Amino acid sequence: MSGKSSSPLSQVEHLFARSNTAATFDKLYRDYWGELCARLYRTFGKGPPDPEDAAQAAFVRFAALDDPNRVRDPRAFLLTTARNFILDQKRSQNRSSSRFTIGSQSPAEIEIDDLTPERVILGREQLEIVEQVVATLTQKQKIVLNLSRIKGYTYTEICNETGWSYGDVYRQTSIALAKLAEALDRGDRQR
Amino acid sequence: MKSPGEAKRETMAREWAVALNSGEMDLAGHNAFEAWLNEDQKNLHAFEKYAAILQTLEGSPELSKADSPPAHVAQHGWWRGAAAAAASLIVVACAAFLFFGTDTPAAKPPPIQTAAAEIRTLTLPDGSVATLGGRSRIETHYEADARRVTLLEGDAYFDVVPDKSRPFYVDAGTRVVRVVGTEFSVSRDSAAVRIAVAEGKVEVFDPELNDVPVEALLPGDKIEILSKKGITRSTVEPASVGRWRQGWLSFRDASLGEIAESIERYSNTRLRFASTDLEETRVTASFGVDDIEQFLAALEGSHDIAWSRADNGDILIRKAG
Repeated sequence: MSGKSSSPLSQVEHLFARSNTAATFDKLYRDYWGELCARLYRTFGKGPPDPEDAAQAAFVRFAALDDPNRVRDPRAFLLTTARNFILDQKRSQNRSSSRFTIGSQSPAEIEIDDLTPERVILGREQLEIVEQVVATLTQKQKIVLNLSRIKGYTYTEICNETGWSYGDVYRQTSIALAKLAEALDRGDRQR
Repeated sequence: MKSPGEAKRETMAREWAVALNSGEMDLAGHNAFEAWLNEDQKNLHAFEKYAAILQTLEGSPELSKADSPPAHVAQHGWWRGAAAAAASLIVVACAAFLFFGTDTPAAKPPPIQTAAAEIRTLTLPDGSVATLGGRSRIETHYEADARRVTLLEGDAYFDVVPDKSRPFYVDAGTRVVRVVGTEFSVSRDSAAVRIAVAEGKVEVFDPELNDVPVEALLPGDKIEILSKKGITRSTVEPASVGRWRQGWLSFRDASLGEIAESIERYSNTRLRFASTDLEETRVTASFGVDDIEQFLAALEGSHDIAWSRADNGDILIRKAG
């Protein structure tokens, strides 16, 4: 991730200075900036767009809301907005479109929802499919995905934690993702 | 039912998602991923599904319950080596297309190279791990049905993730190596290609003889393919394969010229010879790259050779007396 000339905080804090939500924003930034960048990096790569640019765009959008306090899950808002920023940028690079994104959804629509990241990223039916398939995964596959996606472990750290080989961790991840993708594809075809 | 092209795209999208999720993909991998995304808009379309899955899993209530990894087991337990060896004994029965040109090339990332005295470990898109020695260079070329790496120069040690549907090839110029999952070292310099196996089974092919393996190597087997003198076979302690990764250089009946080439790659120290016949002197030696002077001292004791250091740090080797 490339360094920025000024911190994202300094670039958007003036938007908050006029409101009574500066403390909320400050805490959100401190708590979530690093994690958000890391999650974007581990899902979409280094870019372009740079994950930091996407995170910054998300914070700017959050700051620009009329009443940020109405967002019940600010982390989900930031994740979703940053993700949409990345996909919009990538699509504009190669003029693609997808059924798995909500790039057209505006921050105003997002803000009033009781958001969770998954509900926004996938539709409700697709979300149910994912939960059903996760329940059928082997315990090893669940642990690998839990450690990598929820706890943010690298594969090497998972190896150290569990004693499993790197190849095994890699393979279990691939098998689990294949199962999930196949189930989503079947769900799409049945609709 | 997906077409073969769509199935291949799907596989690549999943491979990239798994590699990104590792949290350990290096810059070359990221560049290769971007190149693949930009190659065809359908690639982004295929990848978006996996990105959505990865992000959805972060909020999965079902997944969050699975947070009890098993009790820690030492990573280097005997069972690990045994399991890896057993897995890697699965050798593909039928010959695949050995040569690197295909009808649907994937994005070709730039070569990955190391500087002199640099040893770098990197994770390839399939999770296999490659360690490059000093001044070494590889190119990777991953496809749905084959994983291909070209060793252009230097030393590379591969710990290959088993995948019998996608054999792993290493092209070292005069020879191509094929494995399913194993650990082995390949070296390529101006004089020879050397292959040594730490675990599993390795098949060696001559590109000019197409798909018939000319050698099958097991743990401890080592071959050296000299451009002029053919193939020599020897055995080594499997645990000693790839010891250059720890800065240890071993040579058996090698010329001083070859040894000088290795020393230059691992230490930035240049050896200069007063006469060309000195370069042809055959030596068996083993030493740490931090201890070249000890090697030279031993050389003085065993051969009619003397050495000195020039002002610029080069080592001058001449006949004694």
